[in-house]
Amino acid sequence: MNKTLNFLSRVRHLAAATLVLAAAGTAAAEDLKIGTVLSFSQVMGVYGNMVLDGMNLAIEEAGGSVAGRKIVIVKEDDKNDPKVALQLVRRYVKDEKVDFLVGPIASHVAAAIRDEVHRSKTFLVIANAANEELTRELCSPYLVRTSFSTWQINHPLGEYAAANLGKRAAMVGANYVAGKQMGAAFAEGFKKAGGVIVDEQWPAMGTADFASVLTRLRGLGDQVDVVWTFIPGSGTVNFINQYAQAKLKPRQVGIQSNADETYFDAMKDNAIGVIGSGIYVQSMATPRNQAFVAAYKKKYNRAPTPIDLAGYDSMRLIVEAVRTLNGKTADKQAVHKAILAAEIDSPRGYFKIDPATNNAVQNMYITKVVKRPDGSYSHELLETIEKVRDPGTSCKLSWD
Amino acid sequence: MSADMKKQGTRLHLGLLAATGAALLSVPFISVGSGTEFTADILIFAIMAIGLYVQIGLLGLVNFGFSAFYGLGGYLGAVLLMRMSPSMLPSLALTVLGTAAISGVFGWIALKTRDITFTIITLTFAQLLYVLALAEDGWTGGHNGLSGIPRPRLPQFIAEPLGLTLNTDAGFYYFVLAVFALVVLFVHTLSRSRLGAVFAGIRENEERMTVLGYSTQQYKLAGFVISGAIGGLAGYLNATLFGFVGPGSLFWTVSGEAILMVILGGAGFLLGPIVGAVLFVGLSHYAVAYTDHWRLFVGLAFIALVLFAPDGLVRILRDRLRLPMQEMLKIGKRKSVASPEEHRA
Amino acid sequence: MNTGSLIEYLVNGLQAGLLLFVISAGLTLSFGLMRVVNVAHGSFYMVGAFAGITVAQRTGSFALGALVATIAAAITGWLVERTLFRRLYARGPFPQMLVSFGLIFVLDELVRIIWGGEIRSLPRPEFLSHSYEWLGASIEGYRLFLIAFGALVSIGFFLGLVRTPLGAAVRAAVDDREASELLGMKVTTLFSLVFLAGAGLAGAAGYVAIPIVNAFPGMGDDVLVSCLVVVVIGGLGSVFGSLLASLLIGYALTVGQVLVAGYAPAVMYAVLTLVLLLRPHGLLGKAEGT
Repeated sequence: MNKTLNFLSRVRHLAAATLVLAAAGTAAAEDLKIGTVLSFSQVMGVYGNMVLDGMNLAIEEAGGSVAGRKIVIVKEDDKNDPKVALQLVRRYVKDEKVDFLVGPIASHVAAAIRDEVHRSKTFLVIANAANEELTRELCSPYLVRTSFSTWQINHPLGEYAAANLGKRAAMVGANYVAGKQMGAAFAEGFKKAGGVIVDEQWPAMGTADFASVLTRLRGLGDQVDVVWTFIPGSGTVNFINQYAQAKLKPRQVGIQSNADETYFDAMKDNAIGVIGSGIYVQSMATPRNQAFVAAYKKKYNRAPTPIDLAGYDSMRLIVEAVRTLNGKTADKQAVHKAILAAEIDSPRGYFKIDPATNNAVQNMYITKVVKRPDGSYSHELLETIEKVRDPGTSCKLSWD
Repeated sequence: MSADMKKQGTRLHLGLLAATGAALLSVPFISVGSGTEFTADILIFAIMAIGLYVQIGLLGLVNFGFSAFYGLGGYLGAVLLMRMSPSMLPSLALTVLGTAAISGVFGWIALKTRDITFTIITLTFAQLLYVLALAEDGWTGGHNGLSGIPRPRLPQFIAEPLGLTLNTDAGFYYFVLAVFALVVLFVHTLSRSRLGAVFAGIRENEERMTVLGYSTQQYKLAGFVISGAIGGLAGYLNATLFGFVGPGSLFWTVSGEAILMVILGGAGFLLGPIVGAVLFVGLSHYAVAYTDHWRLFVGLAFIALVLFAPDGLVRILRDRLRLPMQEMLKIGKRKSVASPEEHRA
Repeated sequence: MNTGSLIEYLVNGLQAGLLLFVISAGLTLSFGLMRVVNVAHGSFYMVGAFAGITVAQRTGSFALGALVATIAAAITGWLVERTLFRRLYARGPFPQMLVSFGLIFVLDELVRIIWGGEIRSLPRPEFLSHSYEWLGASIEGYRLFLIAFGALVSIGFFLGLVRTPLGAAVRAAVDDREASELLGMKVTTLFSLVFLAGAGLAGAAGYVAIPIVNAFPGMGDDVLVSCLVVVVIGGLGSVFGSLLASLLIGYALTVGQVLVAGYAPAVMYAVLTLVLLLRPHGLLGKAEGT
């Protein structure tokens, strides 16, 4: 069930003090309230809705409630704006008294709400944001991540690329913190396996025409075997299309979302051959995954993406934890233990929360984009790197 | 207007002022959950709108890049608090001075141009700062912005005896309220002063002012700087309220929203931007809760406003409801030096 | 840097500049003629792109898409002018700017509602998909097409302005509106024509840019800022000025991407500031009222 925060109810709060307090106090104990810190409008709106879809499927499978508590989603748009997200978190905690938070999509939003989440002692299940610090130096027992960290998704890719594709790489990443972090992780893995970074370019965020970037890549001639890229959002479509147009030779590698189901329509044949690394392969033939994909097709008439999956697993994690606690979520340390112990049988394969960092431990799948006989595109699995664990350097989970 | 009506108007005016003051003072006691913070947020937007009002309402300069000062104040405050010292006075003073200085530079360049060119160049200044903030991640945190900004520490001599702190919702709220009151008082006095009269004269007929012997460029620059400083002040408060500042606060569409606030209430009087800020925050929150396509409605509201209520809602209230608001509307407004009655040879 | 790369950069800058001119030309004339600054101009760019791409994908004809893009954008422009701007002429440039600001929100969101939020692309027509080798540079046929497109539009524009009676009327009205009206010219009709033509051009540019930069709701927002910079640098109302400015900005952005990649957009603002410091009315602008 979805519910929206509305302005009138806030005005009422302002006006009628104690009555509302008392009423809110008794009502909140029953329902299991989940606050979403997600974008539902503009560019990121697509992803916010994917996470929500995943969550709703999980709720449906759980029968709408757990341990006698009805699951209620409190949904409001964070507009992909850190300040709005902060305000949302505070309102969710103070006014709605949510039991869990799920989100956000963007790493800069996650970075902004981290302190507030910790201070308010509310568990945030991170369903997409990948910034490493959240499960390293800024880790907190209240931050649980079911998606991945930038290191987890790029480091094994770097090692794979140097071992299989060639020892010289050029990097092209959007010029912002997350992009640089992604690049550093790739470079570390690549060099560890004996590779050398030949060139780096960091075009400004929002660049749409990469003509000059491609000219420079061409100028490197055959000194480059592999081009690693990370251009978030629609820019990745532009880059891959333009790269194909420019008929450059080196293999493109990057995280799987550079060329995935969200963008296949816009890229078509230009995406063929692009190598990606990700936490999930939609076409994986395990019974568990097939059931998941079928359920998605039935409920939403489309196939799930890794982001849908993260939303689904986030909700399943919460449900499992609350079930083992018999619905009692007041003791935070107990909740944490329950989350760590939860076995959720994820469609992605192996999944466990790392007790040292609260980050997900999972397989990384190296894939290649291929075209099926029926004309549709999918990811072919090249290699599975088992149970990748983010080193979580300098993480000390502390309760204060 | 008869003496009786004037008296009645003034009494109503004072009464309303007192009532509003009492309501604002009691917010932390009657509000629940995040209500206090929400009210503080509105007050901060009101301060920003008042800053813009100094440029648009008093001087007649349509600045479409006001977000530059707002964001700048936030970043300056953040960097000072986190790297220099968490105490309030130095960080606040330096932020306001810093923003004033930079707005001086921007103003000096922008004021070489007129009308639409001026408006466009102010927009591009905001964008320039936005691009710089994104790229310069060492200082500004780039796309992530700066989080974990501490609440400023009050100086010992204020905090000690009364045990005051800005770390609580209520404490910070009263701080914001105090600043808000001071800004309102300042701008009100400014508009009624000699300087304010010159501003009004420039707004109404700049050529005439030049002929009368005023060096209008300097006055405009002064107004630009004052306006920018107030914007920076609002930015500082915003950053410290939420402990966060990001490049989004510099993006030029924030300037558009600021303009909307000013004209929503009415650019003709000081009350206008205040009312406008309250309504705008309310409108956008309500629209967000109502639909994911809230931008459509905000855009339509903007258009309707400019088309049908260009002087703002305060004036509509007066004309439609015939409230004896003459005195209230006089807050922050004064006849210009260039108009016949006030002209001194 | 080798010759090949240099040639590619030169070609890229030229292409970027000319395309920018096509988009900004309408805005320049709107300003020169009626002192209207329509910050929703980028939305015509977007509407054209989406209308065109829908038709192109349904019919498989790139050319048909281009035609529809231009017409759709022109109609949108005409509607906007008739229902909104026409009411505001008497009130000066700022209400128009504010209304158009609200319009950005409305059009962006409408496109999102009608077409969805996903990014869309269009492949280049077959005969324009080849690349040509020349002195070590690889030049894409499609970018040459864009250069030709931009050059044709520019030439057509200038010829139109200088050689046709309509062009003469426009120039007269830009120079001295009151006098033109006194002489019996229907300036408002003229303006509607100019406005919708400008919108159509922006839509056409939005469409032909898709094979490179794709289409997505809000795509006009970044383009808009570049247009405003071009219009100001060129000098409000001077079409030739905005051509020069477009080329300048096109190259500035290209060079910026090469030299100061992360700060590329800032180069544009630096150029703007420099120009305004030296010539406050833009390269070829006139002081207001002269």
